[in-house]
Amino acid sequence: MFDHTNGMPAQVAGDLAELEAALDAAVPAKALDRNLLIASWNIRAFGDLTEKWISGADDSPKRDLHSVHCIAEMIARFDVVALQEVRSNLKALRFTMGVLPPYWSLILTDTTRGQRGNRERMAFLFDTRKVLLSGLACELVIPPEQLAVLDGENLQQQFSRTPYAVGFRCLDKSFTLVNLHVIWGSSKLERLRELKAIANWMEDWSNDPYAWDQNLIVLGDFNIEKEDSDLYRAFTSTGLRVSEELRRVKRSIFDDPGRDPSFFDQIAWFAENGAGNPLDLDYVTGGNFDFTKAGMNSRGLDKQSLSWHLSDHLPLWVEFSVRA
Amino acid sequence: MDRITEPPPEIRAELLELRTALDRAVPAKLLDRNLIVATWNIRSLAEVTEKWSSDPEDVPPRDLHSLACIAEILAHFDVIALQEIKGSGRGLRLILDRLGANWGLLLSDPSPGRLGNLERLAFLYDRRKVIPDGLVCELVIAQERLVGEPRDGMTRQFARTPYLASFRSLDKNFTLVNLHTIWGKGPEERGPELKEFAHWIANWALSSAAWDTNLIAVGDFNIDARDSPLYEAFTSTGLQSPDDLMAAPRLIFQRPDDPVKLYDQIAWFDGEGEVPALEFNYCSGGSFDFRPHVLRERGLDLRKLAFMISDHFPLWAEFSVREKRGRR
Repeated sequence: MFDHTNGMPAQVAGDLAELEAALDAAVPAKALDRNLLIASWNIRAFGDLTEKWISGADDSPKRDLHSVHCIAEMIARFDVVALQEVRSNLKALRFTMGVLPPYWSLILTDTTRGQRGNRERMAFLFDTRKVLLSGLACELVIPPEQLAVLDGENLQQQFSRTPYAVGFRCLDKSFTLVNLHVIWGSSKLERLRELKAIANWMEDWSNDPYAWDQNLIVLGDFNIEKEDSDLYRAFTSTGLRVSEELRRVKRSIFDDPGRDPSFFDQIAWFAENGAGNPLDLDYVTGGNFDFTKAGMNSRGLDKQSLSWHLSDHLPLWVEFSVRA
Repeated sequence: MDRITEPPPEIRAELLELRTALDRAVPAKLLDRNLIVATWNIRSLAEVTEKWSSDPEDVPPRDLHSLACIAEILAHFDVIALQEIKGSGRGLRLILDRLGANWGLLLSDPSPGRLGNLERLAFLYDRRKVIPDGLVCELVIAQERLVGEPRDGMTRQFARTPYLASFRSLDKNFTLVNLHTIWGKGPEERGPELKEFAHWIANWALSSAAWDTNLIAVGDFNIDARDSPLYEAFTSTGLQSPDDLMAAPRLIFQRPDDPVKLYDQIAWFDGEGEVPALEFNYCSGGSFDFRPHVLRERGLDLRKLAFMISDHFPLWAEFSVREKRGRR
C-alpha cells in the first residue's frame, strides 16, 4: 500500500493484506467523474500513540503503528472523512497523515474548551484528487438571544463540542459537511437539546438564501441509542433523513446479534419533502465497514482491546453519483 | 456567472495606474524571501451593482469598477484577513474570480444574533506564497469561564467569533487570528473582548496542544488611541506592533493633524514576555491610501467612497522568511 512500510513486521503486512481485500469487497471503488464517497468515523480517543509496530501489555496507549496503518487504509478508501474524538494530542493523527499518500489533506478545529468538550477536536481528511475545499470552514456558535429562551428543550449553552462545517467541491458540485459529536452527558435531556438545536440550525441554514453553498450533509456521532426514540425524533424533526441502507447497519463493534443495535453514528440530509432544501446529489448506496473481521486478526485482541487500537465505532459511509 | 468581464478602456487605464501606485507603496512579493500579511475591513462587502459604473439611484453603490480596484489592491499581498463580509458574499465571489486561479479563500459562517451583525470573517491567500496548513477554527469560550465572576468581565461569546487559520510559508507555519471586535455603546463594551482576546492568544501560544505557535493577530479591533485602556487591554499579554505600523493611518476619514485611530492592527509577540517571539523577522509595514488612485473620474466625496471601496485602508506588514531566527 504506502511507502511507510520500513520495518513492518510480516504479521502486520499479512493483516493489512486481509484488510485491503475486505475493504475491496465492502466499499465501492473511488471512481473519478462518477462517484463521491463520504464517511464519518469516531476514532476512539484519537490522540496519543505508542511508536512501536506492536504495543505490548505495559504500553499506554494501546494504539500502535499497526493500528495507524489500519486506520489510514480505511480512511484512504473514501474521498472525505469526518472524524470525531480527535484529541488535543495530535500524534496519532499526524502519523496517519504521514501514512496516507501526499495528496491527502486535512482541516481541523482547535479543541473545544471547557470540561464538557473533553479536549476533542473535529476534523476532516480528504483526498485532493477527488475533492477540494470550497472556502467555507466554520464552527456553529449560537447567539446569546437564542440561548436565553428558557424552554426545557432549548439549548441553554453552546454545543459541548462546537459543530464544524466545511464546504467542499467535487467537479461542479459543492457540498457542506457539518461534523458533530453530540454530548453524552448526564441525562438524555442534554442530548435532546443538542439534537434539536442541530436539526433547527440545519433547517435555517438550508433555507438561507445567503448561504455560501447548498447541499448540506450532517454527519458524526449523535449518541442516539436507537431509532425508535425521542432522540432520533428530535434529530429528524425538521426533515433530516438517513438512508435505508444506513439505518440497517451496525455502528458499534460491541453490537451483538442478540442485542438491540446502537444508532450512534449518522450521515443525514434533507429529503424531498423536508423543511430544508433537498440535496442536489444522487444517493447510490451506503454502509459501514466492519474491521473486527480484518485488520488486526493476528493480534488476537478482545473487543475492548480492539476498541483502543482502532475504535469502538465502525466507519459509516455513503456513495453519491456526481455524474448527472 | 461569477465573473467580472474586461473593464472599459478608461477604467483599465486607471487600474494600471493604481497598480503602479501599489508597486511603489507595497514591497514586491518575493518567493523564498518575504511574506506580506495584510488586514482590511472592506466596508460591508456584500451585494454588488453589476455594472462598471453604478448610477446614483443604484443600490448598493458598489460596482464592478470598485471591485476591480479592491482586487488590484488585494493582489499585492500574500494573505489578507478580511472583516465585514456580509449578505450573499456576491462581492467576495467576484473578487475571488478576478484574483484568479492562484488564490484561495477561507470563510466563516455569518455570526448570528444582534451583536454578530451577520458578518463573516475571511482569509484570501495566494497559493504561490502560502497554503493552508490544516487548522481552521473559531474561538469559542468555555461555558465555565462565562458564568460566576468571569475574568475580564466577559459574560458572552465574542460578538463576532474570532476566526483562526494556519498557513505554511516554506518551512514555517503561522496562524492568523482574525477579529472584528464589537463597536458597542462605548469603549467599556469593547474592553472585555480585547482583554479576553489578549489572554486567549497568549494561552494559545503557550499551549503544548497548539497546532503551531507563530501567532499573528489581525483585524479591526476598534481601538481609538495608543494611550487608551483599550490598547492597554489589547497589549496586556505582550502583543505588540512596530512603530512604523502604529503610525500608519487606518481610516479614509483620518485627518493629518489628529492622532491616528488604531482600529486596525497587525500584532504579534516579540519575545519580551512569556510567549516566544514570532519566528519571522519584521521588515516593513504600512497602510495603502487608495484615495488618490481609485474612482478618480467619479466625483465621489469620502462618505460615498467609503461605500464603494471602504472607510478603512488596508494595513500590511512584510516579514522575512529567509533567516532562521532562534526561539527563546
